[in-house]
Amino acid sequence: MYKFLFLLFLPVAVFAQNKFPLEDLNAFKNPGPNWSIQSAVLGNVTATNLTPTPGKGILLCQLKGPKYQPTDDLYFNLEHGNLKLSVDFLIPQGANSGIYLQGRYEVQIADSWRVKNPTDGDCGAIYYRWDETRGAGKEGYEGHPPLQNACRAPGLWNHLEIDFRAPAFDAVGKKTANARFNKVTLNGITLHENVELLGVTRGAVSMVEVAKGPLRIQGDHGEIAFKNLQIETGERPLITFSPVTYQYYEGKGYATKDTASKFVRSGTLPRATMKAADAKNNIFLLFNGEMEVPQTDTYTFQAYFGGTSLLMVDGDTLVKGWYWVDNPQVRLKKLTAGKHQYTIHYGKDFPWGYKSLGIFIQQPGGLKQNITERSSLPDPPPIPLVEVEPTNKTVVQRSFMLLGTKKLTHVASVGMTSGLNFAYNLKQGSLVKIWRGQFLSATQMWHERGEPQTAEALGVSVPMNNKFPLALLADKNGAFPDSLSPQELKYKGYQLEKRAIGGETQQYPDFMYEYQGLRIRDISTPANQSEGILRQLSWQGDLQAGKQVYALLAEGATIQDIGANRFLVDGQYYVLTFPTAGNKPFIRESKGVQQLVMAVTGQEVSYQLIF
Amino acid sequence: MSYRPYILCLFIALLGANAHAQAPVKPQLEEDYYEIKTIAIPTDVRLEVGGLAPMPDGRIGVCTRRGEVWIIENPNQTDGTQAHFSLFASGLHEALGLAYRDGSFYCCQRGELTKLTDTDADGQADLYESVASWDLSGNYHEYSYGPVFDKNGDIYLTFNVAWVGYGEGKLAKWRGWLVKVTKDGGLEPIAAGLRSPAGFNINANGDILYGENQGDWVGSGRVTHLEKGDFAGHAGSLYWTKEPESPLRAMTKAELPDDGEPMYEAARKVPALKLPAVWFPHALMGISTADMVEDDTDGKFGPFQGQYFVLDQGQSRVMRMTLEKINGKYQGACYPFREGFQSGTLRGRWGLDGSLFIGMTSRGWGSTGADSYGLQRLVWNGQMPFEMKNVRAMPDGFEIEFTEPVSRKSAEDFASYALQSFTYEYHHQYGSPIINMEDTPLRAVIVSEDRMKVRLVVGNLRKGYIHQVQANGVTNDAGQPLLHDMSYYTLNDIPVGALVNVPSPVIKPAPAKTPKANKKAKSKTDTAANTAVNPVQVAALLKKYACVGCHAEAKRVVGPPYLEIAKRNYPNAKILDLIYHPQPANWPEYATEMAPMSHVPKEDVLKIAAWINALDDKPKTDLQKLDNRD
Repeated sequence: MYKFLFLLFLPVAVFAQNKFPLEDLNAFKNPGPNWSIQSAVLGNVTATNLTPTPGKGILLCQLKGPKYQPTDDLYFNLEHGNLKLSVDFLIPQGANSGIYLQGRYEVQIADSWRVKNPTDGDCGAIYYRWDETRGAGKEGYEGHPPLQNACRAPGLWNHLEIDFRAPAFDAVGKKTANARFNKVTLNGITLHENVELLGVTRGAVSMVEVAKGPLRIQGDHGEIAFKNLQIETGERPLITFSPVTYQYYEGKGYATKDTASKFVRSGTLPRATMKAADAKNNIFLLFNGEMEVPQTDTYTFQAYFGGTSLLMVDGDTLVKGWYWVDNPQVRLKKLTAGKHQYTIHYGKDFPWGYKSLGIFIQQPGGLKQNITERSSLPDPPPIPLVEVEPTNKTVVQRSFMLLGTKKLTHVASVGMTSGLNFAYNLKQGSLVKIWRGQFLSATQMWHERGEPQTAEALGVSVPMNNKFPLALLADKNGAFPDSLSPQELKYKGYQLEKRAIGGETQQYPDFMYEYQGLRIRDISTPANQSEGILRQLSWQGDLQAGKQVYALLAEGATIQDIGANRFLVDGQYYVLTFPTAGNKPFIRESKGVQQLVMAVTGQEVSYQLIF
Repeated sequence: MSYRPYILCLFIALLGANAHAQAPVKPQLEEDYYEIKTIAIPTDVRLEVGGLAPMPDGRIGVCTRRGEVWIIENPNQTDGTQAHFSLFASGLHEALGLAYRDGSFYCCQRGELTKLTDTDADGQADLYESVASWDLSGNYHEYSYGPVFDKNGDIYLTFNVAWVGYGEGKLAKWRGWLVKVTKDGGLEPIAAGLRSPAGFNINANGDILYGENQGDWVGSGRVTHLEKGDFAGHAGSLYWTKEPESPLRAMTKAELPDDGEPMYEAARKVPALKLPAVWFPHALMGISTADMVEDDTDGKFGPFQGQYFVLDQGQSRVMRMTLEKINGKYQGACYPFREGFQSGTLRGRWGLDGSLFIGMTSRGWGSTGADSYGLQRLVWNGQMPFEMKNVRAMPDGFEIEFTEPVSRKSAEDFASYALQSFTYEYHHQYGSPIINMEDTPLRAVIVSEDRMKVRLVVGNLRKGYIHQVQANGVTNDAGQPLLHDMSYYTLNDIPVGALVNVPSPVIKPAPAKTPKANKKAKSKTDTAANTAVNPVQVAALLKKYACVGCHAEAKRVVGPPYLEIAKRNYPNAKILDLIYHPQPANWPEYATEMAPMSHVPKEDVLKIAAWINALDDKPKTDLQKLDNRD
């Protein structure tokens, strides 16, 4: 049960209210010449520039003049306080930019690809503050490095989300609350959570903190592209709540119908709370309250009950029945500006579990507000992280692992000291995902017991196609099977092979299979300079007459040949191939996806995944 | 060291001695004969033991639930020296079994039997070969156990069913089966009906015995002899009888009687249904049957050569089991043996010196031993305990063999024995109450010439029933009572042979049901008990009905502490109802469900209930001290 409770306080998805279509630069104040609107950009892992395609949908910064011109930065027309931001960005090699909340608090964007121990100047950092009076070499202070480096390779799209709370001030302008990053995630990885800033970061538009300031993007260092920009300001007028009246009953059943319930008392409280009941069990509470909604809109109600449940608004029953607290009920209701009546019934006539009652309301684009008293909904118990770390040698860890909603049962995750990791499906001889950064959470397996027993990648991952990459085909148009049975592909185990890479000798698992009478070996190691993963497949045995071994190197919606034997797959990773004179990889269509295929001449094929 | 339950025994024994106005005799303690030695585990190693594999050079391999294999050198820590841990292999998936053979380890992962070999002699495995691989659905309860090698070198494995609110085998092939690994890495199904077969063993005769955990279709823990085509009782596995390789004809759950009649009766209707050789009554003798070993130490482990030691994970204890063949089928008895291990005793394996390594884990499962994991050795110190060495079925009763001569006076006294029989329901519900309990009237006692054996001639022998054979008044020449006076004999069949000619009517009255020692404790305190809660008396009841196996006063063991129960403010009558009809949903944070304890007399339950409800209002009694494990 605790595992379900862990998910309890996920926010309701009411994000994405303010989309910027990026069809023009009208959302910005006097944009400088560096900024333009394009339809696409193409980067490369080694390129310091981006190649744009004219059109709409992408905001691009290119340096048109010298570096470090203050007028290069892009200011939104929007002046904001609290803000949620979601955006994709793509940078070339060596890029440096950043997003300044209120023009003052910077989340750094930089090419930090392959940095193992990021600092407060690396991508995703909350940039450091700056004070020259602190003395030479000590000017920078109070920066926040990201919890881990989550930056993708140059030329690949990154996804950034920022949840920012503005500083607050009293009537005389005295600060009453610090600015705070509630959460910053990059590519799905949490970089910061509930970090307060004691002042503005280096390069702020002003040293003075304010309630509202302009959103700003740094544009004075070099190239960067943005798309899918969405903003939610949370700046809706607050709903106000009048005190509630309550009646408290003890006994079993539903107090309004069940005469066995004993009336204990009634009264008035600032908010509804389960703490209005004295007993732990066999309680029944009725609340009636009024709230004033400033704007007409469709509001989201989120209700956590631990037992018998009723929520009515203006006589309309939104929630009724029996619910446990790990199953919050979400309802939408249109409310006109003005006063609205609500009724809450809460009963608990069983001994296990704890009393819990939490009702929230949220206007689209607004803050989630508590209708009930904060302490009426107890926190779920915290669960410690159980982490597997390849500290000084390669780690192989078998587990269940989710692929979408499907649970794979024979997965070996391999964590390498270079910070490169992959998950490998032993039943298919296939890569499930590859990732950088922290290796593996075994919490679900090794904390207590029970479902779902899965291990989870802790770093920035790229999904793979989960298919065995070799097939014996009659010609180059032959189809690769989607999956293989244990009879077709027999897993034989793995041998730990020593390899010296980048001056470091480590052991790496060399997976062994029998396939169509061939003995297959499949080993993946860190690629040159940790650019990615080098996969080498080889086979021994006698080929069936008239058959040729082909390798499926990648699959995706879009595979682009970007030159120098590199292919870009869905903007998510690169494949580096090693063609020979008569044998080059080719892109083909199969069942609605693109495939990168190569004939295997000799008894070995290698390719490199760069990400 | 643990003095856990024996302080109470001491107390009762002293009361008894005083009542008889005799000179007090020194009571026996388990630790006087069998010593527990703790292997010191490095602080950064989480040795959640899943499997043990002693090596012929004196080292021992240990695999863990976190998928590591450790080799421990000098595990006996001779003369206070340190044991040395080195990591041999890692990354395995919930490794719950390990064997060592011809220079390699064989480890059972959830979905694969893996051979681990160190090919470059650096002390670490570098070759992880898949010997056999099988499907899983991904359910957490799909645990896999083994490997156990037979004399031919063939490998056997057992597979748990999944848990989806009930045991389900159909989610992946051969779940709930005993299987044999074929030479090409395939699986040959041998027997079905397994639920949670955490421990199994091939004995000196080459027969496979497996231990089962109480649950759905399993009224209580038990050990069953599995032969090809047997169905051990759990319905979840039957889905796969439709396969052509199945040694059972195609069967479905619908063919099984499910109305709670005893399994013995059900087996009359379902010929494939195999009766257990020995039932281990729930809570009285364990709550979660784990590993078992056969004593082949040639006396290094004491006087029990050829017998079996069966571990109980939840109660952190080792029990003893004797088997005999009646009409070609195994049946026998179980006995308490040694308690007080540090964590959940999952695995047992013999060391070279005839001591028993005990590997432990309790994460997520709970155990009486408070540690999360551990490794200990159980060592016989050469002293002879006064025990019932063996209880055997006779055509008209039972024969008890002792490890020492008994005092003729005590052994001939009918009041020295407490005999009754009972059984469990066979049904899809989880567990079972004790049912059909009846007295087994004693008709005659015959002490052998050498006073090493006592033959009990009884009435009301019931086939298929568990017969409690308790010798609570029998002493040795020194006047000491037995170290353990309890045994439970599973009487599937009654041997034919000469009956003892017992004059009729019965010479002496049959003893009452209540064991003598408790009666004495009770008589001392009866008057107080009628008016107020007597913690000493309740402590005796909690011990007698094995409540202490799962509950302590203030501390979480397997079930909730009494103080937590007290906080629920149940009326005494409600506690009575809940003890007879447990509601596991009331305690969702506890993994192990409580079995109905409806065999406990109402008046005793109400005394316990009154004591529980008094806990909330007053400072803690020293019950916890009685139940201390220090």
